[in-house]
Amino acid sequence: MVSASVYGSYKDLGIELQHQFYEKTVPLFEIIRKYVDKRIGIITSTIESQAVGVIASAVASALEEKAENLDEIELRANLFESYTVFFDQCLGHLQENLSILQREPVVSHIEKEQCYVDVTKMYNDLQNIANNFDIDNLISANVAKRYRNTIRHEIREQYRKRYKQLLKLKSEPVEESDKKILSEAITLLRIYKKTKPNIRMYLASTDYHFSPSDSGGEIAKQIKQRFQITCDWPDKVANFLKSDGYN
Amino acid sequence: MSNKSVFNYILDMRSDLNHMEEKGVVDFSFIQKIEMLDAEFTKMKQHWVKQRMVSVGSAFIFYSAMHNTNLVLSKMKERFKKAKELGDNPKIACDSRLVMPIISEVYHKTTRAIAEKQNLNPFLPNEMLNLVSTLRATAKLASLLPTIDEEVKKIDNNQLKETATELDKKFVASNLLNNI
Repeated sequence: MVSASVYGSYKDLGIELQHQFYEKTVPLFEIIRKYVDKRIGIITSTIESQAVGVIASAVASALEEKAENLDEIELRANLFESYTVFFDQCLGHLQENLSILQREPVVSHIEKEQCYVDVTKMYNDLQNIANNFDIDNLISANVAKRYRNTIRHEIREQYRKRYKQLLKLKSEPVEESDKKILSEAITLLRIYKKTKPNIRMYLASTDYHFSPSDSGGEIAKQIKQRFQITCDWPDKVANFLKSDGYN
Repeated sequence: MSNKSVFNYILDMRSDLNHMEEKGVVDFSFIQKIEMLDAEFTKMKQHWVKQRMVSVGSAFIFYSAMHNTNLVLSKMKERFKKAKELGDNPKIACDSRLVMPIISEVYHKTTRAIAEKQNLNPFLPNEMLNLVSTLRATAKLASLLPTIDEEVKKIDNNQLKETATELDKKFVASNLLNNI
């Protein structure tokens, strides 16, 4: 939602602001807009408030750095004014994007709490694996001794690439809000499955706690295995939807 | 004007609008009232630029609310002025009726925030954020929101360019945490 909402172009002034993943979100929102009557794009209030919070805190933090030591009122006023232009634009785009999504209430608290426990367990397991992940041990276990030194560097890079998503957990553990979002998605999928057993759910995100890197990802794989939700980047989810018939 | 009289002033304006809608005729003396209210919001906007008791982030949200209210009021004033020549009579009164209750709430919440100073209720900035979104969405539907080009015209280009660069950097930095 954030990537899809942070953009603004004022060609006459030669000014352009665009989130680095904005382009990746365009195809997905095009499909959702085209099939708006099919209600294929869903959102929960948790995601909505997180998106507003991310935009607000990024703008506030950029402004804070600039305004903190600025005492002259006129300069401060100019600064506030120019930040509010972009801020309002982004919030406006966010509203436009929200208007084509179906806001789903997550009704069953007991169900959600159970999902939350399952999600927490999955991330804890993955965190433990990431913390204990030792590439040298893996090389020793899987590569014949005589080749180890010659190909160590190459193998190390291969493992790093393959387990990139997992290894990221070491420096950036999962956040509570991410666990809540996944729990809500699982709860909704279970509700939908009661009436449509073959339904598929995709979770579009640019957050590595959900979406894999180009070389795949252990977290996304586990989410798929345990909860039957396919997590991927927005442009990839657009491709999945196309192959589901939403062209 | 005291806070209480501004609040009453807004109530009077709302009843003026009801009256105009009922009669189907725009009262042009209403323009002066818009100007008065606009000046009150401008004063409050200045307050949030100057104040140092709450975080810049919170001050900015209230500032942004005042700024947006100013934008809506300026569009309202422009439409009232041109109501005759553009055949916007009494549509402008009906449209203004839609946003006045929100403007009233923006005013109410802002005076509360100013009074609370450093003890600002932590939920208030978020409430204000939601309220501004409602104000903008309603104003847009009622053709009471200036276009982005109209808004940008009044702002220093260099400052805008600098802000765009800073925000771009900030969003890239926040993404690097998540990027893989």
